[in-house]
Amino acid sequence: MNRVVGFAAIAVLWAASASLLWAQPVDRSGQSQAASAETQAPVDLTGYWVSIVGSNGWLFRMVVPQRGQYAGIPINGRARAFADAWSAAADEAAHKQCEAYGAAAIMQIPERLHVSWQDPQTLQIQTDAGMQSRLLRFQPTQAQRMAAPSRQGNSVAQWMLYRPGGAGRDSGAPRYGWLQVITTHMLPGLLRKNGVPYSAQASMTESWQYISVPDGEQLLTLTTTLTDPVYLAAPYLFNSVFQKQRDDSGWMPSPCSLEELSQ
Amino acid sequence: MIPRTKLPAALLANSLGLALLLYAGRARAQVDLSGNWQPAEPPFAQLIATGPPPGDFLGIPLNREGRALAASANPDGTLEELGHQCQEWLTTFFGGGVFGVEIRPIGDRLNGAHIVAWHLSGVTDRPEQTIWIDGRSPPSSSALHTWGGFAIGHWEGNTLAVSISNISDGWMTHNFAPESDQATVDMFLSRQNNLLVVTYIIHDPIYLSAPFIRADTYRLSEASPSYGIGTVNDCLPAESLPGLNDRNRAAPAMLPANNPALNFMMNHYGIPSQIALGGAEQMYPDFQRQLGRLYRVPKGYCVQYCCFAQGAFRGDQCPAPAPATPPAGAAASAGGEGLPAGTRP
Repeated sequence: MNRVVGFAAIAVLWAASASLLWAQPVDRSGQSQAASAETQAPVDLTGYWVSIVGSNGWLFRMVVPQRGQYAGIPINGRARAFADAWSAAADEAAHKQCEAYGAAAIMQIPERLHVSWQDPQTLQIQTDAGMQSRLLRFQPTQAQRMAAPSRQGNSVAQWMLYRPGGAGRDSGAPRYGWLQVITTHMLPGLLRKNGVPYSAQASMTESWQYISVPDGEQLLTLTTTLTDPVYLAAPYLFNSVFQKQRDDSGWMPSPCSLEELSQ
Repeated sequence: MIPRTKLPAALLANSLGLALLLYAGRARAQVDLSGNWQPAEPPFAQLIATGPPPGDFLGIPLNREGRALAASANPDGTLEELGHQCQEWLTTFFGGGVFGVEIRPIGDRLNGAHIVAWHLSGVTDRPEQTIWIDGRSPPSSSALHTWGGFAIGHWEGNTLAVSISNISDGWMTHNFAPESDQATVDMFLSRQNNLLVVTYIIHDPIYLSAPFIRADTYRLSEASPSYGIGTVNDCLPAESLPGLNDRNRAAPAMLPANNPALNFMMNHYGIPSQIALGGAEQMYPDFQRQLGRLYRVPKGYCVQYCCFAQGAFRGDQCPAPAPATPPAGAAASAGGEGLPAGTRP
């Protein structure tokens, strides 16, 4: 009897050890090729989200900074020259308003997002401001990777998963992690509606961090790092915070515009 | 050779040892926050180091009482008052400044590998803070309040979720947006490779009508921290305001009607003072429509911070901007000007 208990104890300890081995944090994408990005998602990002425009950058986001106001963006001389010579009226006349709603700028614009799964491997982000649509692809095809440049570019997404101690891959225990998105193949556009440019050589890395606040609120903190060898002297990093909505209240699709509230 | 009768005991001991070893390894394997973290937004960091412009409380959900106190803020003299000279910024001021934060783990006394808390320290006038993750409960609300408050936390994947209470009253921004001693903070430190994203939510039933939400990002730095010059304990308050030692000494005060700081946003950005004093509705996109009815395009331009993109710290050090054709319907761009009076370096 004692021997049985002893071997049982050993078995339990080895099982526990194995689970501890399994519980080491992992920063990598899919555990299985068969699992879709939707089923692997550690959090449910779908639904409606609204921008929180806090004190940091309010003056540059809620009203259009006037010519010469480039604070906060590490532009180089070439970008400054471009912006100084840029004309909103000329862009409007040429129907190029949506240059200010490209992938590198769209998440900074005060707006609402509608997030949904277009298919199990593609997360769709729609904005009411400028009526744009971003596609975050978790397993893009070669053709999608090599597609022609577009306003929203090619975005390749990856869940950066972290499994808590003791949780096996199929344990059903809570999973954690964030979403990393790398966007390239963007058409040239504007970082601000006062003419600050980014080029077709720009690339962007975003991290989407979901946060559940104890009072029940759900937040999404986006950290974006934009590099551009043409117009930026250093990587441009900025944060955008979104708050989850219960429904589509306030969702108001509006076309691209360069004229709103210009200083 | 182990006798056959002793085999289960030996296996049991080995298994126990292996399990303990792996448990200790797991304790070390939690997300590592330790290191020197520097602001990852250098241009903005410079901007916020000088603080928001005087009278700029845009996007802060201040209620009526909060707006009244904000309207009375004296950017020139508040920190020179005797009672405030050695005051530290509150823990809610985590992201304000060019300086970073140093984070170090605190190990259990008996098992140093088992982390029981994380210790945050920074510049001289930022309170040190210990975030306890050992499961302890927060103190009573009537217990000691400090500038750093009392912080407890737990891990949610790559994020350390922190609750801070027992914070002294003070200011949540560099230009003196008020914060009461009943405020609490939810703070989330999310490590993403070499970035640390800090999201914090301030709840204040006295001065806020909604939670104030903000996020800042830091980058792991191998450089030695540039801060740590003395501590606030070295501070010795001294009378520095003229007139305080006079026979008819007057307490420094700035009534809203006489506060020149309230004109700054209107004069430089065309934002009326009643808007610049903040409010919960300003945090949302819908406020743009309301703002459109009140907003007036300013007559002059370039103002403050115009040259940060060029790396200069003061407007008056900037080269004169090249003449440019103003956009249709907009006022002409003017040259740079120095930081406004009262802005702290």
